[in-house]
Amino acid sequence: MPLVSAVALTSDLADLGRVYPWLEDAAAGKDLPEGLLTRMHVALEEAVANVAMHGFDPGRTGQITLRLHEIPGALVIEIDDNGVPFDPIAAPKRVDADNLADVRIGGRGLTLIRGCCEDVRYERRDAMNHLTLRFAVGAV
Amino acid sequence: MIDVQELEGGLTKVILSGRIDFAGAQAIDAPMKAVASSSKSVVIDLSAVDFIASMGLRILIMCAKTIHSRSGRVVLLGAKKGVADVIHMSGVDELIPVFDAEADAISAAVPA
Repeated sequence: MPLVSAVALTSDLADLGRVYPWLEDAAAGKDLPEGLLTRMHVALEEAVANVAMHGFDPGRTGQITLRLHEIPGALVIEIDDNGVPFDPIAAPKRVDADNLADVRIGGRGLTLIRGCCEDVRYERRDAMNHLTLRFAVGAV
Repeated sequence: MIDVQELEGGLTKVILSGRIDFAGAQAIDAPMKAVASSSKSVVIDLSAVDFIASMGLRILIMCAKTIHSRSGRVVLLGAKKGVADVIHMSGVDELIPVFDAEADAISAAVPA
């Protein structure tokens, strides 16, 4: 896959804000469908937030690498981290609650990611989590 | 980023604005917790919000959960299309009522 841009972050909350300007710069000049860049930001924030909040023991700062690739008809974001094994696709799905008292905050993340992109894949390889998000450029 | 107004009838109006991203969510977290712990009828005006995602939605849900646990009411008002899409996609609109008109939002937030 042709690499467009890559950036290395730490899991420190103060560092995570760099994801937005990185994606803005990486996608600059591309003829994207209306709303796609926002959907990419939403999916990327959820994915990176998951890693930062659940991937590392307290006091341990992890490494997160983001890569944007361009393939025919799609943009692909790869998110690699050295946190504990975590497959967001296999995580418990959102349980619909009739009222706020029963709702769990975290169960909606994958729903949000799936709603924003065309395909989500997870792989654990070489002691790293690899999450791949594919966004169709042709779709509106 | 956040403006909290105490209106007549015990109604609290929270006006959020700009990007509720990682930094934005951190900025509104403490004020939203303060509203959640002290108010029972809350309208959260999203009409000036340009971006919201999981971190911001978590704060909205936590606020609504806290107020709901004290038998209070929280509603959302006037989200722009991109923001409304995220709220719908995440299912947050199934938990917190969303209104386009301020009068409808206020009626829903304040017990008759």
